[in-house]
Parts: sequence; C-alpha cells; structure tokens
Amino acid sequence: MTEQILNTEPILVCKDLCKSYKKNKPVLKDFNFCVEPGKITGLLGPNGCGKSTLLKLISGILVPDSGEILLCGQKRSEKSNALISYLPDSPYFSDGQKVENMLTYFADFYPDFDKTLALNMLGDLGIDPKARFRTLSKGTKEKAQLVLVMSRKARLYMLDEPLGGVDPAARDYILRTIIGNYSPDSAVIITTHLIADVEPALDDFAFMNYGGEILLSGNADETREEQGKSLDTLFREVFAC
Amino acid sequence: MKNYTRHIICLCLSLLLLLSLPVLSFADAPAKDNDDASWSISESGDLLCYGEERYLPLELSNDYFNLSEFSKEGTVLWGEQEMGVAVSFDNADLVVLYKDSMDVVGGNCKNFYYKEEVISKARALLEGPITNYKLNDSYYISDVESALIKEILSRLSDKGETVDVSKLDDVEQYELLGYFKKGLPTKRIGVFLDSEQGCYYVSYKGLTNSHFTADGALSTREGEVTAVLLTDEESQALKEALEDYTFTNPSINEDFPPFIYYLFLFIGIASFGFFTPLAILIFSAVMLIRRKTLHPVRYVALALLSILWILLALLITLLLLI
Amino acid sequence: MLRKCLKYDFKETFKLWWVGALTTLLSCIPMTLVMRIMTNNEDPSISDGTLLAIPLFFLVWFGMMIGTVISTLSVYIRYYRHFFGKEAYLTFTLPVKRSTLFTSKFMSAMFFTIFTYVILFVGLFSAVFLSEGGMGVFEAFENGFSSGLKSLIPAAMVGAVVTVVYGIFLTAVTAINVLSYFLIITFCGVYFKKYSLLAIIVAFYILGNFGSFVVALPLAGGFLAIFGVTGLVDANLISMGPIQLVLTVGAALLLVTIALTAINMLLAFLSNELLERKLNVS
Repeated sequence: MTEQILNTEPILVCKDLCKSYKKNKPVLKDFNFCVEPGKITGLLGPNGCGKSTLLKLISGILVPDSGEILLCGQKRSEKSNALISYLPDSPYFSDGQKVENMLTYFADFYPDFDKTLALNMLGDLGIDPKARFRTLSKGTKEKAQLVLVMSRKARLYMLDEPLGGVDPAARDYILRTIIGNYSPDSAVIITTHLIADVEPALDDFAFMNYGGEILLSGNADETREEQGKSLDTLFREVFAC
Repeated sequence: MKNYTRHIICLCLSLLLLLSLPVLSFADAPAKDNDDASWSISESGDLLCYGEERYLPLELSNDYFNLSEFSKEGTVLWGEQEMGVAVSFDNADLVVLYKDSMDVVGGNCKNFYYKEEVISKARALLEGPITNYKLNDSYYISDVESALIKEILSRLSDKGETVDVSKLDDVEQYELLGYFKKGLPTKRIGVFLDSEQGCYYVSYKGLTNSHFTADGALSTREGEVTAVLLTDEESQALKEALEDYTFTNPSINEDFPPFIYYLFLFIGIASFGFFTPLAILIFSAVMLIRRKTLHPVRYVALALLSILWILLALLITLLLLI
Repeated sequence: MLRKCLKYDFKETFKLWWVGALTTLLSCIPMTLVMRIMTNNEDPSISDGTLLAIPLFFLVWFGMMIGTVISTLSVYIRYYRHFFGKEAYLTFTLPVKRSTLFTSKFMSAMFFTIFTYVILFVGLFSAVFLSEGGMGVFEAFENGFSSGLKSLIPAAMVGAVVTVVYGIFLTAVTAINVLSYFLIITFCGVYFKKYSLLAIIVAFYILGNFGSFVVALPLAGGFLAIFGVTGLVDANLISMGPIQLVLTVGAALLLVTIALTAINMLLAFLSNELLERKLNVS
C-alpha cells in the first residue's frame, strides 16, 4: 500500500453522538470518533456495546438523537451514501433475486461500482452469478454481499462482522481483498469478534465499551510494540469478565 | 411520546370527532309547532300565518298539476278540523293544507298557499310563457325535450285535423305538463293519444268538461277533438322520453322533516369547507413555528392552499345565500 | 435517480401484480356465460339456466375479488418490504433522497392501482360486450351516468367531459387512497417495529370498518341532504344570474381540486417526515 496520502482531511468525524433505543438506556453517549484516510480501523468491543449502531448511524439507517456526523467535511445526508460502502451484519437481498441482478442494481445506483471486478471476485469465490440468493448458503450470501461492497470505489468502507460465518480459507481471501481493493484516500472500518484473523490487516484500532466509551485506541503496530502483546490478548485483558 | 406524534394523533382525533358530529342530528328535530311561532288560519281560509309570515291561497283550478314533494311542518286548526301543513321541498314559499298525506297524489293542487310577498310573481309565472315540459302517464313523470313539443304545438293551428276519438283503438294517454320555473305547479296543456292508428296530440284549450272522464283523463268513448298527428320520429322520441322517467307522483312526507336534511348539509359543508382546512392550516403552522420539519416550503404551500380552501368555501356559501 | 427507482419499483411490483391481474381477467370469462344465461332466460324463477348462473356468478365474483386484492396489495407489499423489510438496509444506504424513494413508490402505486381498475373494467366490459343483451346493461349504465349532462352540453361532448371529470376525480381519490395506506404502513412501521405487520393489519381493519362508518355517516347524510334540498338548490341556481352561476360552479370545482390536492399533499408530507426523521431501521 502506498504511503502517499492524497487527502489529510478526516474521512469520518463523529461529534458527541447520542443514540438510545430505550429511555435511560443509551447505546451511544457523547461518542466522539475520527477516521483518517488511508487507514484500516478495527472497531472492537463486546456484544451490544454499540459498534453496529455506530455503523448504522454513519450509513444513515439510524437517525441519531443528537450529535453530528461529518463525512469528508460535509454533514451526513443521502448524498454521503455515495461515499460510503456499507456491509451490514445480515444479508439484505431479496431471496428471489439473482446475484447478477444485484450487480446491475449496484451499477445503476453507484457510478463507482466496478462490475468486472465484481464478476472476477465472484468467480474467485466460486459463486455463480446466475444463482438466486435463496439457493446460496449463509456464508456464500455473506461472501456475495462483500463482493458487492468491495467492488465499489468508495471513500469509506464499513464492514460489520465481515468474517462471521465465512470459512477460514475465504477469510484470507476477504482480508486480501480488503487490503488490496481500497485506495490511499479512502478508509475502512471493520467491526469483528475474530480479532486474531483481522489484526494483521489493521492500521488503527479502538476498543469500544458499553455506552460508546472508547477504552483504548491508537495505532495497531505501535500498541503491539508498547504492550508486547497482540491486540487479541489485549482485548481479552481489557474486557475480561 | 414525542411532541410530533402527539400532533398527528390530535389531528386524526379531531378530524374523526368532527366527522362524527352528524350523529347528533339523529336526535329529534324540534317540531315547528313547539316553537313560539305556530300555524294559524283565518276562518274563511284566505289567510294562513306562521309567526309573522303570511300565506295567501293560490286558488288553482284543475288546469294545474302539482309535481312538488312536501314535508310536514306542523298542523293548523281550521274551524274544527285539524289540517296538516306541509312545505314544498322545491320551494319554501309553497305550502299545502291537507287532511291526508295522499291529498297531493295525482297532482292535486287543492288548498295550496303561497307567501304573500311573492304571490303575485308566482301567479304571473303560473300564467306565463312555458319553456319546460314533462309527460305524465298518471303514474310516472318524464322529462321531454322542449324542442320536440314546440314543433308539435306549432303544427296544431294549421295542420290540426278533426279526430273522432271513439274510432281510435287501444289508446294510451300521456298528459303534457308545462312550466316556466321549478317549484310551482305545472300547467296541464294537452294529451298524447297513442293508438294503433297513430300518435295524436290534443290540446286542452277549448275543451269542456264533457270531453273528460271523472278521473280527469280525456274521454275516448265519444267525441271529436282537434288533434295533430305525430310523425314516426316524433312518436319514437316520445316513447324514448317516457322510458326515461324521473319520479313518480308526488306525496307528503310526514316522517322526515327537512330540518335533518339541512343539518346534514350544514355539517357536511362546515366539516369539509371549514373544519378540515382549518385543521390542516393549524398543523402546517405548528410544523413551521416549532421548526419540526426540514422542508418548511412544503408546509408554507400547504398552509396557503388551506387558506385558499377556506376562502373558496366562504365565497360559495355567500354566493348561495345571496 | 427517480427514473432508476421507478424502473426497479415497476419491475418488483409487477412480479406479484400480474398474478392478480391475470386472475381478474380470467374470472371475467365465465361472466360472459353468466350474462348470456341471465339475459336469455325468459323465466326469472328457478330454472336450469339460473341454477347454473348462480354458482358461476359467485365464481366470477370471487375470482375478480381475489385478483383485484392481489393486484392492489402488490404495491403495498413492495412499499413495506422496501422500507421496513430486510431490504431496508439496501434502500436507505442508496445515494437517493428518501423523498425520491417515496415519490417513486407513489408513482408506481398510482400506475398499478389505476391499471388494476382498468383491467377490471376491461374484463367486465368485454364480458358484457360479448354476451347477448349485455349491451343493453351497458347502455342503461351509460345513459344513467351522463343523462344529466346531456341537457347542459352538446351531446357529442358528453362522453369526453364525463371521462375527463370522472377520470380526474377518480385519480385524485385513488391518490388519497394510496397515500393514506402508505401513511398507515409508515406510521405502524416506525412506531411498532417488530409488530408493524400486525399493527398494519389491525389499523387497516379498524380504519376500514370504523373509519368507513364514521365517514359514511356524514357522506350518507350529505347525499340525503343533497337529494332533499335539491329543489331548494335548483331554485336558487335558476334564480341566479349567469355571472353568479358561473362564479359558484367555478368556485366549487376549484374548491374540490384544491381540497383534494391539499389532502394528498398532507398525507405525502406526513409519510415523508416519518421516513426522513423518525424511521430507524433495526
């Protein structure tokens, strides 16, 4: 990956974000977060700490109770969706759809979508473009979804649990794809429990606790050097039950 | 719940409540004779009063045929006889006194009264030029094109022939009624005799009582009349007009006072013309004032439309009342 | 973007809509037989022909109802799935404004709803037209429909005027219908989340029955009132000068247009507000 950073403005800035699903039980409270271009950031935390909620707020699926989200310096709006490529934690396709129809759909709505790249990736992963989604296994659906997301030339890729339900061989391919397919002026946010698998790919990381509290964050390499342990071990220590 | 939700629910409930108001009109309408004003009539019957309103007898002969439906408004004691008082649906100035609700069936115009202020105008209209026509087959009333009738009437003077009615076989009669303005009794002008020999029109003008049966129909047992023969096209047009009947002979409705009709109409107009746009206007104003929307222009447009809606409803109400 | 949204909305809605439309059309075929039996049957009392016509009629009626319901529901199923189903994740991450998504749904809903009526009419008309004596029914219907107008405007124009006036009115009322259902679905989807489908069914049932009763009351009363005071209104209208008459009729037409537009706008805005600010897809 080239060291040249084309744009130093943060791609994502979250200011004092608040979101709660029930009264007096905030999922995110005064949450502040920032992602620089050219970085793969791991957002790591226990179940229910608000990782998926944060990604949904950024992608526009959820509306924050208060606070601000800036994407490339602009307030979050539907236009920002063109800058974001989001992979949710569950499949969102209609079961009756064919994979190739979704390629056409993405190509129609996202000018930055590379259909050729998508077809190549589907071929590498052994997914038949003419297959209907209902005929694919859970893992294969997730792979197909990931292909669609990574075939775009977005500024911000948000991958919510991209490796869950995927076999180990495919995980390596996915990680190679993530590293290889994004450009230096874009950024990637990954949320996952499989820290050991993702750790080698991460540039930055953040340990997120309940309520959106960031317990520890920084550069992955520097932290490993300082602490003398892997992020996976560190995670288990920080969030020990 | 958020304030925004409360607004929507308040709007829905208020609209539902307003639309339910007509239920109130199922309550008994106050009968007019329970009010301070009541009906009274002079002994001779030449002046009927209701409060300060005065009605004079129209004194219509058998030359006239009533088409109006009436609705009971009260009762009046005439001598020792209690008579019903009914007002025409078509014309609030026209009143009838009756003993039995069947009194106006058959077009009977007995005991018709008219408001004193406008009776002379009504009498002039009753005698005046006729522009509209109807056919009466003694049960159904049908509209008929005035152009057709005028063409037939124009031939009467020079193309009329003397016809022996007793020689006509299998005759059906359709009386021709004429009027200038709705709401007044129509004039019985003539009759069509549809026989196997052809369809004839006979004018009532110049005929005497001996030409009629006790029922008021033209006698076909004997006698000669001046008639004009209709062409085939005219006969066909007449038959088609008869097939398209509009209503049966009028009657007096004693069960359903017009008060409920007017109340329903008023509530309908008030709800649709005023309350609904007012509710929308208030909602738009709230959305704008409390800045609850990201698109204020939409609500400005909606508010303006509501105002225009109310103004138009006011205008129409004024125009109808003038 | 609106064109792209429309393209996909049409495609997806059509997948279910055509099933209903075909069912409706096919149900009208036995209607031809029913019309032939009923119009050729001289003795209206029970006879072989009538015995056959009765079950056939119910078959036709049932088929048409099912077909029309499927066709009509197809647009609401699409709306619900796209905004509140699992596809919502995809919908709301598209670089398309929510109002554009809504407009696209509305336009496709109007098209398919009106086309459903057209299919129903074409099916019934064809059945009536193809049967002997059926034309008499149609002519009586057409005469009743436009008889009043014939005295006011030249006969040649009656058909066009009736079509335009009723067409515009029907379209406006259809729009209110569609937008009302959209609002119900949106409201239930936003506030009832997991139980949104149940809430929608209950809301449709309650509003359909209770709302119809409450709205029908003043409407029925209004109609009664109109019939009852027709003479009064007629007398008033006849006594009006031409300018006053034109102003009154013109104002009334304008008022109805504005009222229908305002109601449609309100319903659309409410749904948009809920989608833009209150919808949290979970």
